Amino acid sequence: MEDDILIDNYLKGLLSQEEKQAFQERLASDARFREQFDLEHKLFNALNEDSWSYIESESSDVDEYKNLLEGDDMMALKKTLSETNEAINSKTSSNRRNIFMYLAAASVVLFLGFQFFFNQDMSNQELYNAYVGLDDLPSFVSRSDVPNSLSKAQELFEARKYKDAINLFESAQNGNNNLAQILIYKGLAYTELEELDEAQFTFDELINSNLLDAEKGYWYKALLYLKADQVEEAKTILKKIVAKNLHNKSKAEELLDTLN
Amino acid sequence: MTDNSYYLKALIENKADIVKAIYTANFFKVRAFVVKNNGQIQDAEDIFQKALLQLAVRYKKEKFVINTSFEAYLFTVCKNLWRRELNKSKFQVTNSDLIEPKDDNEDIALAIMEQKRWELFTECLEKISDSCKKILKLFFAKTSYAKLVEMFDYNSETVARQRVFKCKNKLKELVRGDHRFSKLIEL
Repeated sequence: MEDDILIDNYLKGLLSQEEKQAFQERLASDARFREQFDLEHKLFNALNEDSWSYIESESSDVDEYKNLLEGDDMMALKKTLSETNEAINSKTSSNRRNIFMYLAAASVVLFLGFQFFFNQDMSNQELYNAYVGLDDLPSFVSRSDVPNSLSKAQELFEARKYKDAINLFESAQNGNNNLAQILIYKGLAYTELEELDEAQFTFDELINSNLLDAEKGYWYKALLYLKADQVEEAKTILKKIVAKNLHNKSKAEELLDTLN
Repeated sequence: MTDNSYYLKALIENKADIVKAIYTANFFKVRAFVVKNNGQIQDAEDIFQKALLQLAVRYKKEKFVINTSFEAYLFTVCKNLWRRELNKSKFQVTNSDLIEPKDDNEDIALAIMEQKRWELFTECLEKISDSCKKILKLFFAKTSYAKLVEMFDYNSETVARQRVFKCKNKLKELVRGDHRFSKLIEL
């Protein structure tokens, strides 16, 4: 037990300089102590979330894995992986560029005050406003509840204090039963702040989740594109909603009609 | 739902459509995790590719079995790979013994052995009693003894230390008794 305390204190960095020196000398000379320390050290690094236990010596297994990775079939897999990665990520990065161009165009438009462009932007913006229904979102507040962080976040959202709302939603997000609803609120908060990249990211998180309400992510992502003036992207998603009979199918049909 | 080896087999058979399905179903979650933990999108892309290669080559060598869902397992591997990256710079400063991998393949190979050791430790931790597990998780998260006394109503820090000591010994006993131990501990 004494050695145990000593090792603990060493691993937690609690020993003085001299004690540390003595500790290391003992490690060098006492094989049993070293074995004990090694295991403790590895457990400590592996099971503490802020560290990691690395391999420190050569092994035949490492060589074997390495050789296999150099084989033709694994090289072929690498190629597939990097192509798939590119396909998936270039799609999102080109969206990102479009959003950026929209923002740049919007600022030029504001600067020059071209009524013509402005009107065109407004119409998509108006459509977004008409369909998004910020005030009709499901509520986190139930009559019997004492106020909690979600109801507070909702209050902030309703007061249009989106940044603060996002912070609260994020802190409440982990392991919460209302995750889908939280992601919708959060994504819309980002949309309202025109942080379109983050908004898209949040809706994708919802879409790619296993949650029952995952499909709602498509509807809000379509609205996000609409707000960003990316009508074609919005239409693609709306068509998908209609074809696959997802959440808000009839609204999607209606909106598609208007956009066409 | 699906047999877990379905995806592993698809990886070593290089089936592009299934690789794509794995990406669509899992990549964005990993990206969110990496970005939230001080990484860039590019880091997430690297980690995800390395994780899939890790699974493929491990399955090719030893046909290992995933006990959870494929998605959950892949996410754990990605999380660990990202922990590994984040700690690399820290580790290099404090320990000169770290093997400097010559290339990506060697880095992936090293990461596999580390992941296997992590699995051995985590599985053993899951096997001990709930109360021991709880106290050890706090201990490994560097919770102070004073705090443990408060949380568990122990009479003194000495009692807390003894409790940790006993639980840790149980964990070490299980680790030492596991058939994987000798191969993984010397490394």
